[in-house]
Amino acid sequence: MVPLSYYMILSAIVFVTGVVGVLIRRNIIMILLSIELMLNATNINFVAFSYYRTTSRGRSSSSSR
Amino acid sequence: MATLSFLYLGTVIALTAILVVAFRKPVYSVMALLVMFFHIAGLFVTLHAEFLAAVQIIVYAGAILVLYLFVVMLLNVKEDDSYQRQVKLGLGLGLLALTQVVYIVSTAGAPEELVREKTAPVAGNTETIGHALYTTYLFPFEVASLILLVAMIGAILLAKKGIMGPEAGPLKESK
Repeated sequence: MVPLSYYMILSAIVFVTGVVGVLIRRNIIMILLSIELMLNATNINFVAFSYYRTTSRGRSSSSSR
Repeated sequence: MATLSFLYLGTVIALTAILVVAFRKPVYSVMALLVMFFHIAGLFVTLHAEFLAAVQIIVYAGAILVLYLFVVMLLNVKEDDSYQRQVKLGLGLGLLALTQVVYIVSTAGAPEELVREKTAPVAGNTETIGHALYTTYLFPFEVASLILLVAMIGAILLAKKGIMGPEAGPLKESK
């Protein structure tokens, strides 16, 4: 059983990578790709919380992005 | 088994996320992002969110990445000058934020209620999501659809010249 904090740390890694990409890349398309990284990091968090809370709240808010 | 699959998926997700930012050619970045989306879908399957895994593959890998690929190929983006000057500063700030988050998560620990009960009944995945979206979260759902409508109309206005009058785009109205 994987603890919830592992998912949060993975999501934090992906999110920070996206932030660094927005900061250091110059191309507008690369900035948009980094924003996609950040959005997916939040989705990982939503789904992990929804699984560990056994509700469908996180999944429903993650599916209406 | 669950730990092993999480380790594999997590390592690939983190590595490809870093590669997306690190690659100099935008096409390679899009390909790395494609691998990352598929592994995130796998992670969703291990978290029993099968509907979201399907949506992840269909919408992200099928629609958004193809859109990015078209833009990259049509604009013919050069691979030079792709980094800003403050690479060191950005990396330092990122490391600082990451250590903060890891420190907070590892010291806080999971509250007691966040331990998953094994015996929770799970209805159909799509069914529960649809029910929650159309009952509890009806208002945010409609607001999101309104925002998407505004974005669509804005894209049409920006893209089509002369829709607001003879050869004056919407951006030139202030003259």
